[in-house]
Amino acid sequence: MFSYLVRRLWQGVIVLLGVTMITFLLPSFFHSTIARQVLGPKAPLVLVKKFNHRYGFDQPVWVQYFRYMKNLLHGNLGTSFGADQFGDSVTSLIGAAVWRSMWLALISLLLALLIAIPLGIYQAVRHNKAFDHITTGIVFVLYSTPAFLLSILLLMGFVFHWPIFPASVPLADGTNQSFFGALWSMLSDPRGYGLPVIVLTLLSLGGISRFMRGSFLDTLVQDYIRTAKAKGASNRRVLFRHALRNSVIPIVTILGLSIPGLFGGALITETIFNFDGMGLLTVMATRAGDISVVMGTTLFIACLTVLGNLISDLALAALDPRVRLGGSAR
Amino acid sequence: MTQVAQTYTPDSKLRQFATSFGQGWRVFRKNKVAVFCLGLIIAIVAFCFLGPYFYHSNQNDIGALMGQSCNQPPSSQHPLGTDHTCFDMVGRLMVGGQASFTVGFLAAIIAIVFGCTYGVIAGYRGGRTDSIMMRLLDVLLSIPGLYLVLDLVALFGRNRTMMIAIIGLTGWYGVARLIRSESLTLREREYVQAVRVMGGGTRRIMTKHILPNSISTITTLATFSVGDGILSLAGLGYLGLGLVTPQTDWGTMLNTSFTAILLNYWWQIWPVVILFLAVVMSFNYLGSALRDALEVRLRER
Repeated sequence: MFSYLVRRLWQGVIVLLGVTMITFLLPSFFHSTIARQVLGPKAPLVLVKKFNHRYGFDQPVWVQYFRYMKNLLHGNLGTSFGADQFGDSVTSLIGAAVWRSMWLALISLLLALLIAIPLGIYQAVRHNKAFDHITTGIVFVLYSTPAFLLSILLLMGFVFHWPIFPASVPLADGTNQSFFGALWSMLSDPRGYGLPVIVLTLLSLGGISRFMRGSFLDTLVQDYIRTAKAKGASNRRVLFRHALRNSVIPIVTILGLSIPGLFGGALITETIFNFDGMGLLTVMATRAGDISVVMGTTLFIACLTVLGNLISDLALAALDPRVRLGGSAR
Repeated sequence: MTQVAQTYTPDSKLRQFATSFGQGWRVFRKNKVAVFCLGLIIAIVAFCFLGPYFYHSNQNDIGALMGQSCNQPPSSQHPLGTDHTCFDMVGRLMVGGQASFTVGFLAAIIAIVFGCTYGVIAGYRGGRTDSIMMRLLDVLLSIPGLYLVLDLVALFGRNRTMMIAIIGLTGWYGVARLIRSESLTLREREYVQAVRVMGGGTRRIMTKHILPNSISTITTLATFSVGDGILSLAGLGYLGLGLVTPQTDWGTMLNTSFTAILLNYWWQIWPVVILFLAVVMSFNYLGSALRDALEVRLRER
């Protein structure tokens, strides 16, 4: 287990280094345009030169990269070049958005798991019966509906036709951006945050229940299930004692893989409901051409993705010895 | 084994291709829903690309629309009303669909060509080449798709060619992975080893033996890729980062849906939503039907 851990950690570090090269190099081709964008197209050359010198854009690329990496290790992602938040530190912009995004995603993931796991199991048990066909159809529709269409339909139904929910969530202020503040604000105002939670729940529901159904179907045809049945174990005991345990293991993979989504925010859903989180931050920065913020959030989420993959691999290895003894790490 | 002795004239090759295509079609035809989906896609493509020849409307001259009343409900003059910039909605649906399909198809072609090349080289070469190429892929895979697309849009801007390149070049990772694992198993097959013994070069093995034999995987991936491309463009459009007026795509057409819902301009929402859902679901269903029909391994399930 230890050597597996070291090998996976090492791979993670290499991948992260690669990601920093992308998030550094891609915008570095455009560094010369930032000065004009900030100072205006008619700014005198002296000012432009001064600007470039101040941000180090006049230095060789590798010098800039080392400085970028040094700043990264100190948790400094640079400053924003956007018009309305010029000079703000990207790290603090992310810090203000990340907890709201995390709780939004965590609550909807929990709801989705609570619905999807029993649903998937029941579908598998009623395989090829009417219930399975109908719910599989519904899940297929949910699975292929993109976030913005689902949101439009829900907005039409539950905001304008039957006014149950407000059209946009409570705005971010000083009180609901901290770790506990965000959670408290969401739990104390379920109606205000209802729609984005419902959208995200429905969106992840499809994938998880499909996965669960498949995994349970695979388990049900295993030899040890037949053995358990042959020994005279009751149907209930076979399902919950023998099949459930083994078929839930793959769900661990889904949990690990959803970590980037948890903190990274749902880009489209957050934008639609005006939810101040990581997604909305990125979209607004893209619209404003604010490269350093876009690259900062991208790097942040890439780190989380690497971390999520690592955690899900390790959890899987801990639960299932075949994985770590299998030799190949992938 | 008789095929080894067979001489490879272009004619016999063509016949072979026709036979295998015919076999695939016969299996596919049994799935009535999938055939319906295929028909639906063809009908909508025809509506978008042939429609403008039969239904004439001004779709690019903003100046000529000045002074006309916008947001009109359906009338005899405009069967589906007009949108917020006074364009006729039926014509708008066609133009938007053209953009969506063009970007979807071309981006899928880029993704497939790039992904297959990358995957087959990594899988067939194996060893150190493979591990370096796969680490690089891990790096790219750890940046979520929509974020990378947004990065590139922020850097390179919003014209149609750029969109195709961006969506195509961020959509090939999955293709590369699957084709790699496919070539990893195919290169150990006897007929590939036979070619190697007979002196067939690496490039010949890759292009004449490994890729043609993964055609079923490639077809399935291509179907999903087109759907994904259409979805990506629509997502961008909905975020207000799609094509610029007078161009449009289905996502951009829904960009103003919030106001449209508020003012009850239903004709600006439902036609797009229905067409879009029909297309995306058809591609998804078609993809899974093809996977079931072509992949023998999954056929029992």
